[in-house]
Amino acid sequence: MIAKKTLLALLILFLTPCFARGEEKISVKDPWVRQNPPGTSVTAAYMVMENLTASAEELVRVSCSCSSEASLHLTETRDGSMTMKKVASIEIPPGASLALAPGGYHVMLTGLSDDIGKTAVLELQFRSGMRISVKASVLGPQDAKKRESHHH
Amino acid sequence: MRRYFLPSVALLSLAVVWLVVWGFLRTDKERFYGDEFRRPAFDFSLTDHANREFALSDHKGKVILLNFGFTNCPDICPITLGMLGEVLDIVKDDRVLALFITVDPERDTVAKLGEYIPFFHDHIVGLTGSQREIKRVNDACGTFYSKEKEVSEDDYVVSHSPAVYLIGPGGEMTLRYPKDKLDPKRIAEDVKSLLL
Ligand SMILES: [Cu+2]
Repeated sequence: MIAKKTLLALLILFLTPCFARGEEKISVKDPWVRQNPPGTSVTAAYMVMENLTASAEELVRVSCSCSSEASLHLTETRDGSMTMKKVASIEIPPGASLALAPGGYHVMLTGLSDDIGKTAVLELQFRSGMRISVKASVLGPQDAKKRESHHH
Repeated sequence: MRRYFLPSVALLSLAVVWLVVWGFLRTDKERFYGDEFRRPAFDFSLTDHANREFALSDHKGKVILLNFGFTNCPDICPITLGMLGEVLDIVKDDRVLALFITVDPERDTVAKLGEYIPFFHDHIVGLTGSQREIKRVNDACGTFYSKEKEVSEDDYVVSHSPAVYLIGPGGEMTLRYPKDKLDPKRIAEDVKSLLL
């Protein structure tokens, strides 16, 4: 009986770290939303995602409490002219970090109200079905500048 | 002795010319952070975000930093505008002008720019006008813009040059800052050296 209990306790002890690690398969750092300038209803959200698992993961959908629509975009330069295109998903290789940052991948937010407040909730959905909800700060031009130079 | 005189003079003057040209090219390249981008002086006439006529030729003697964009641009235009605001804050001189020329005049009216531009800096000038005139400025900068249906059915984005162009005090195109050369401190140094 005691042996059985010990075995159970040991089993729980060994399994707990696995479950705990399972809680955080993707770590999301520094999420922020650029405050939309007056009169505009579009902006972008940025963050750094780290894949803590041994298999590739893909960000497939995002929604934001601040906008009616959100899509995954990539800013790119073609023949010296810059444009954005929609992408179906953004892959994060196993063990790697991927930055959504100005001039590259971003979450394009459309249908914003004039004043979206100081924070916004981003809901991230991944290929594996996992969902992560993060609170992002809304940054005006001054604070955004600091964040941008921090990433460069 | 005499028969060596002419060839020696010729050789010597060639060396001098070569040295001068080489020295000129070298100092010019090292003088600026921006890429050398010499084009003849040109002019354009647009309307600013306070609904005043703006002709480039009215601003001779100033250093002008020019960039293209549109107010519905979520990713790059706000960064460039913030950066230009920083340049203005560093240089602090009435003889430098930062211009934001819309490539989306259909949506970017004077009123729209009037709301948008001051959010970034009080002294940036937003400009709109006819497609013809906006295309002329793009041509002068050796670039182009085009409407692209990308966002959704009833929305579009406009591809455009991410570079900043510098027009010298004489009205001639002088330097170009591509998207990986947008350090406000170093652009401010170029501007200051041209204002001396
Ligand atoms: Cu976008």
